Amino acid sequence: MMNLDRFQTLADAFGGSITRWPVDVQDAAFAFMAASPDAAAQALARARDLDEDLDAAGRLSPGVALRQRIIDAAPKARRPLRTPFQRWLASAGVGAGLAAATAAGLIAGVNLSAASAGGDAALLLAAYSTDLLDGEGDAS
Amino acid sequence: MTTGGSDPDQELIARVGRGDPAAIQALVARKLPRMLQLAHRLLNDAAEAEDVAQEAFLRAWKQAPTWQPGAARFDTWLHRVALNLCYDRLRRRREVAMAEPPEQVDPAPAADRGLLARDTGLRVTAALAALPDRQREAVVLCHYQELTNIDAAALMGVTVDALESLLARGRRALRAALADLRE
Repeated sequence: MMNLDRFQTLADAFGGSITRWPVDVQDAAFAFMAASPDAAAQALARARDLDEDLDAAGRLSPGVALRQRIIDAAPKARRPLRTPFQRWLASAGVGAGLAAATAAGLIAGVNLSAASAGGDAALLLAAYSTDLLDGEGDAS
Repeated sequence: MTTGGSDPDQELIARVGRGDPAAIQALVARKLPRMLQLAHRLLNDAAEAEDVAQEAFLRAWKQAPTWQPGAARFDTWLHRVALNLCYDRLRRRREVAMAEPPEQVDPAPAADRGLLARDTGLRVTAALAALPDRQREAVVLCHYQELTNIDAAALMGVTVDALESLLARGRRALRAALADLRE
């Protein structure tokens, strides 16, 4: 039941804008305002004065450093797997350990056999293996 | 508490969970000012407010990849996290205050008090800080954070009637403290 007492209580609690009052009392409040415009306006004006005072309090704006610290701590996107072999390893559930063992085997094998063929092939494969490990680490 | 059926942040959170940099920037732009304001109004300390806002986001980042829509709106959940962090700090302050009673403050008028009286913003901040914690929480959640009475009551763990009472008492005290501004 909306009467002047209830209207005044709601204004005291929720402020001078009926649209910010609880949804379930707004229709009755607007109806009361239509029926008793002077009393309603007086109650709302008093509450609105306080709303304006409250809005005068300064706002703390987020600084650039805080914003950056928060963004830096956010989840990182996973890097897409670049080669069919990397995608196969990931889909087969092969972990980084197996990939590392495979890569180490490749390098060791190439190093043994490349002694007579020169170091270039070994370096290339070593670089490929490191790259492979990076990709697999991201996906695991 | 409002459920997540129409959560306006739902899609953004899903993208954040996938590490989408644009979504992360957007979420920070949307929520950081609100979280910082909430903590600042409750703690009245800028450095502590920044710590609370940062910690709330760290928890959001952990939650985002497995966020389940429907349990609660993300904004309400984030308010809950920040509010709990503020409660922890307020509780610690009370414990320290009880262990080390503050020195008596000289009630005589200070030379600069006239300057403060003319600055409405500082006066309001001081009046808010002087409210009992629960009344201040109610005013901050409903007036500054613009939460509904249902969401604010749920966050505070009180009924909507109790929230209305806290708001009415808090705003009455504020009006009395700031009465001279309207004279």
